[in-house]
Amino acid sequence: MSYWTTAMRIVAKDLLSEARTREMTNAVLFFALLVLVLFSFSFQPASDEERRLASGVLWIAFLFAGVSVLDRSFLRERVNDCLDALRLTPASASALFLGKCVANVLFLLLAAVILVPLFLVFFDLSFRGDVGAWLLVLGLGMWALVVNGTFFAAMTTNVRSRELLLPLLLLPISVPALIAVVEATAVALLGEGAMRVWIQVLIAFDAIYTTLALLLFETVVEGT
Amino acid sequence: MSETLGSKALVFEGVCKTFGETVALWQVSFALGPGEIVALTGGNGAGKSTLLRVAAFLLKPTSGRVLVFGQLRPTPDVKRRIGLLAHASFLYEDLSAEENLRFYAALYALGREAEERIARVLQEVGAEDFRHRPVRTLSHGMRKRVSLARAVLSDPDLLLLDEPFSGLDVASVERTRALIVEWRRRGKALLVTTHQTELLEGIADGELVLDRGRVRSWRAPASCRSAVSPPVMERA
Repeated sequence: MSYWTTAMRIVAKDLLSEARTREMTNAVLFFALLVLVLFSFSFQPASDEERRLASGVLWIAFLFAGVSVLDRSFLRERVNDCLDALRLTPASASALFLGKCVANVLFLLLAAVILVPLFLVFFDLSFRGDVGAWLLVLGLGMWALVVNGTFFAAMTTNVRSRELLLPLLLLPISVPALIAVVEATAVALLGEGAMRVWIQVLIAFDAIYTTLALLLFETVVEGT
Repeated sequence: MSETLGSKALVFEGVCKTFGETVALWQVSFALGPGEIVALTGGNGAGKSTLLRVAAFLLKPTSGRVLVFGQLRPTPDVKRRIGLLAHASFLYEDLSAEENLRFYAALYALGREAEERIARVLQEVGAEDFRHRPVRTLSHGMRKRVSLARAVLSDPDLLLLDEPFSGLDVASVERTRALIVEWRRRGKALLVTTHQTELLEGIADGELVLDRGRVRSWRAPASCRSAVSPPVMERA
């Protein structure tokens, strides 16, 4: 079986499980929507400076959604020791990891489809910059969150205080990517400034951490 | 490695496994050849499940060697030849029995024969009637049967069965016992733990008794009588 087929089997399995339970979707949307609603009551961006702030609010909502998705990502494998069953199969550990990452990104993109329009409505905003480039930023930013988050979620899956540990490990390492996505979103909202440099930062971040995670994942899984 | 050990399905040589201060296995040595059944017995906490996990490469021994079909490392080819029925079901709760097996069949790269194999193992373990039901709705005994189907799905040559009879009704126990005999006839090597030792009487070719991680006694199957001789602990 090819590497990609294995990864896609994991994606299909996770999507099917989620379609039946909707536990991840519900949790994600609830937390992310709560953030957006609360912030929309506290300020309405009128000036450019406030529009810059709003880009941070959107990514805080994504961050909440991301941590919630990632935290549950390996819980499915933990129930009935399914992770051990995966380790027993001849499938490549990095293909399993890639499948988990793709499934998590899809969950986050689904959340984005609902959250972004609501964000624009709640804050009375519109994109003045290049929307296509921002969609690229969205994808790269989600991947940046997910690749490290999935890695750390696997690492902490058997730890008692994993809900606490996951954000503690994930957030500091994601700072460069978070700065890039917030800045790039501000550029898209304001229609001023260059987005290219932030896209380059995200591509470099994603390339480095994806490579590291793919190389190290087998060691992490063996140690669980 | 000697040719004798290389031809065995499973060889433990002086295997120790500790978790911090706790000794789970201590100087365990034994061997198991194709077409043989070894009963692994002992009280609670004797180390039976740990031994099976070490044999399946899910745990690394602290010291000593484990060889599966002559291999020290879990290569994809060796993994394909190991089937483990563990305490946990290894099944996804939200998927049906059949969907679980289909998923694992894909990971074992069974390809075109997957559907035929799934139908066969479900029929063998008597799980056809509830193949479409989500695992979360199944009783303990039903789950056990689906787990067994999962363990033998890839047609492994070495079967590690942890309490295969527990939670089963009388008819299912008989069916499982008959399956174990049939698998041996097909040349599979079986290491079976059980508290119901009477169920393996007359069919087990050897017996390994553990006591607090140490070998209490070892009755080797015919093909392994000269392969490895474990240190047997003195009776207190």
